Amino acid sequence: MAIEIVIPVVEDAARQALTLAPAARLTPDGMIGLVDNGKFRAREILVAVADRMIAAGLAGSYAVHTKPSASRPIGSEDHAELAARSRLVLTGVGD
Amino acid sequence: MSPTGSLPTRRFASHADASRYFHDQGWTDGLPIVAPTPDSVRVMASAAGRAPAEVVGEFPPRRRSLSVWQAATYAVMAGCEPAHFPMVLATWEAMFDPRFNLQGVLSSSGGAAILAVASGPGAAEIGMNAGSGLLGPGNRANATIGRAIRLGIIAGLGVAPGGFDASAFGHAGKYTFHFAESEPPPPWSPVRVRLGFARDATTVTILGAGAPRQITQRTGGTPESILAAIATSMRTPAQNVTGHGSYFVIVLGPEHAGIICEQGWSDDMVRDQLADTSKVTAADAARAGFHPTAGPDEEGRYVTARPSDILIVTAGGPGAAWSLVVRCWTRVDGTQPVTREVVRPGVATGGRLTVADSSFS
Repeated sequence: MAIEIVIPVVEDAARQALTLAPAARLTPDGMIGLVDNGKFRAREILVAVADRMIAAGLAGSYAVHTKPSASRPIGSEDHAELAARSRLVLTGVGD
Repeated sequence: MSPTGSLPTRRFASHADASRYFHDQGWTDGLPIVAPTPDSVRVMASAAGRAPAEVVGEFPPRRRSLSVWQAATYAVMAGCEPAHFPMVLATWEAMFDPRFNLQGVLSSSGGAAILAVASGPGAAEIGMNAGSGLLGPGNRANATIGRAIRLGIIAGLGVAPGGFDASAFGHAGKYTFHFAESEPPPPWSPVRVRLGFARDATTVTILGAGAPRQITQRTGGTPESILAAIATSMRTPAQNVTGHGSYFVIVLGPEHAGIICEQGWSDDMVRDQLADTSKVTAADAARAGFHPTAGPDEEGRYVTARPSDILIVTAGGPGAAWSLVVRCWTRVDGTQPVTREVVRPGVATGGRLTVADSSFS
C-alpha cells in the first residue's frame, strides 16, 4: 500500500521567477563599483582589474566600498548606493 | 494553507523508497531519513504549541523562509521525538537573529557548524547528554535535534555542501552539534543564570563554530595550570581569527571544573585569565600569515578573545582531566552568539531577568 509523504521543499513561484538583470553596457565614462570584502589583498586585485578596464576604454573611474567584515554581506543601503552610482559592480567571491 | 501545511505531499511504495528519493534529490545529510508522513509532522508541530503556518524566519539569500510546519518536517526526518521540538524551534529562532549572521555561518569556506549549548531543566527532561561522550554517538536527543537543524538547512534553506555551503572541509559538528550543560559545582551558576535568565528557564546558546579540540592538563592541579593549557589551545596562530578577537566556548570537564571552583575562582576570574593568557604576539601571528590590525596591548600582544567573548560551560564525563575548546569560525565583527529561551507548552518560567554583560546573551 502506498504511503503519503511530505515533500520537504517549498514550491515557491516567486523564487522560481528569479531573473538576472540585463548585462551592463560599458562606456568610457562609466564608474565601476568595487566591493572589497576586506580579505588580504582583495582591494589590490579589484583595483588592478578596474585599472585595466579603464585603460581599455571600458570605464572612466572606479570607487571602492570596503566591507567592515568579510563574514557579513554588504548592507542594503550600501548595496543600493553602489547600484545607483555604478555602471558595473565587481567583487570577489570566497577567499 | 493545504492540509499538510506549506509543503506538498507525494506517494511512495515504502518508507525506504521515500528515503532513497529524498537522498537522490539532495535533501538529506547522506544518512537515511525517517520519511515524514503528514500525521507524524502534525504531531511534531503540535508539540511546540505554535501555529503550523507561523514563519520562524526568513533567509533572503536563497529567497526562502522557514515555517513551524517545515521545521517539524525536518525534525521528523531527523528522528526527533515530539518532546525535542521546542528545543529545535528555539535553535532556529536563535539562528534567524540578525546578530548571528546566518548567511555567513552557512556559506563560509571556513566550514562553521552550529554549536548549541542547552542549559536548564528542559534539557535533562528530554534526555540530552551532558556527560560522557556528549559530542559522540548514542544519545537520541543530542543526535537528532542538531540533525533536524542541518536537514532544514539543506532541504529547507537550500544550503548544501559544494553549493551555497562553501566549506573547504566542514567537520563532524555539521551533522549535529547540540549538547547539554552539567549543572556546575557550587558556588558557580549555570549558563542560563549567568546570561540573565531565571534558574527555572531552559535556554539554548548557539555559536557558528569550528571543530572542537579536546585538551588536557593532568599534572598541574591549579586553576592557573589548567587555564594555561586551555589558553595555549585558544591562541593557536593558524586560525583566521588570530590577533583580531573571536568568541570561544570553553567546556570544562568535571576534574578541571572541580579544581577551579574548589580553589575559589569565579567565572569572571576564569574568563579574565583566559583573555589575558591567550593573547598572541605579532610574531606569532605573522608566522601563520596573519597581520593583526587592532592595536596591541602595552606588552605588544594582540587579543584572541575578550572576557565577554568567552563562555564557560561545565559538561563532559570523567577521565584523565579533559576540557574542550571550541572557537568561533570568524572574528567578532562577523557574527555573534545568540541565546534563546526554549518555550515549552504548559511550562511557565521566570524568563529573561537581565541582559548580562556577555556577547553570548
